[in-house]
Amino acid sequence: MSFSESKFDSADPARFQTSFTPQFESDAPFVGSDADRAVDQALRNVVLPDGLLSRLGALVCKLSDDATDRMDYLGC
Amino acid sequence: MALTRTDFVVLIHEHAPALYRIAYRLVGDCHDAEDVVQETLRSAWRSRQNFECGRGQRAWLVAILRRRVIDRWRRADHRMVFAGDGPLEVPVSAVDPTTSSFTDEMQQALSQLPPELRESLLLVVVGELTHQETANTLGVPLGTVLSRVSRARQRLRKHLLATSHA
Repeated sequence: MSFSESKFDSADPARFQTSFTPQFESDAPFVGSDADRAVDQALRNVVLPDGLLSRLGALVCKLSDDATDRMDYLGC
Repeated sequence: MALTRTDFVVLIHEHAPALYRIAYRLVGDCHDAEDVVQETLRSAWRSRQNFECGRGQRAWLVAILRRRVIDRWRRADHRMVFAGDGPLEVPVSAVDPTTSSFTDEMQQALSQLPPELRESLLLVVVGELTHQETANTLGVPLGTVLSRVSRARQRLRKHLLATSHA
């Protein structure tokens, strides 16, 4: 599935929402044209360092059980 | 209900690869990217009482990661790459880290994008957030995210095509 920028020409926000909201509110990420998919694949093509998950797992095991501190709702 | 440590380990194994990929695309260095992910996990654990099981786990973690990247660039006095319309925009002047360490063609292409396009694209494509989750994370309307992602893909295609023909 693809969409073109020409579809954004509508100056009516209500029309825009009606037309586009449903298909983009699904849990699945947007799937575009073949060219878009190639770009997306290249973007995701990041090799994970060896042992990354093991190191992160070890980190989690060392995290203190202490109560939360001065973090906001996002953990910031 | 707050996360248990066991839940958190499961969460990490599910989402850490995507978090790392986003971090790498944002900071352009594998060591810095792993540091950012570790900082993200520490922050997430400290705020685990606010975690809502089954509701946007990836988006919650990505939002934290985004803040950790911003903090890192602030500390390094780097130019703020995030330029969304949300409340996190903090313009300072320095060097964009993604322009200083090209590790592959895509990383270079990304550096050519305006920050707001790059960020939106990475959250949707690499983070695999929905457009609505990305809009919420960035504090911008859904239509803005849709437009940014479309324009970002278009510019990347053009840049990569130009590069391949050069």
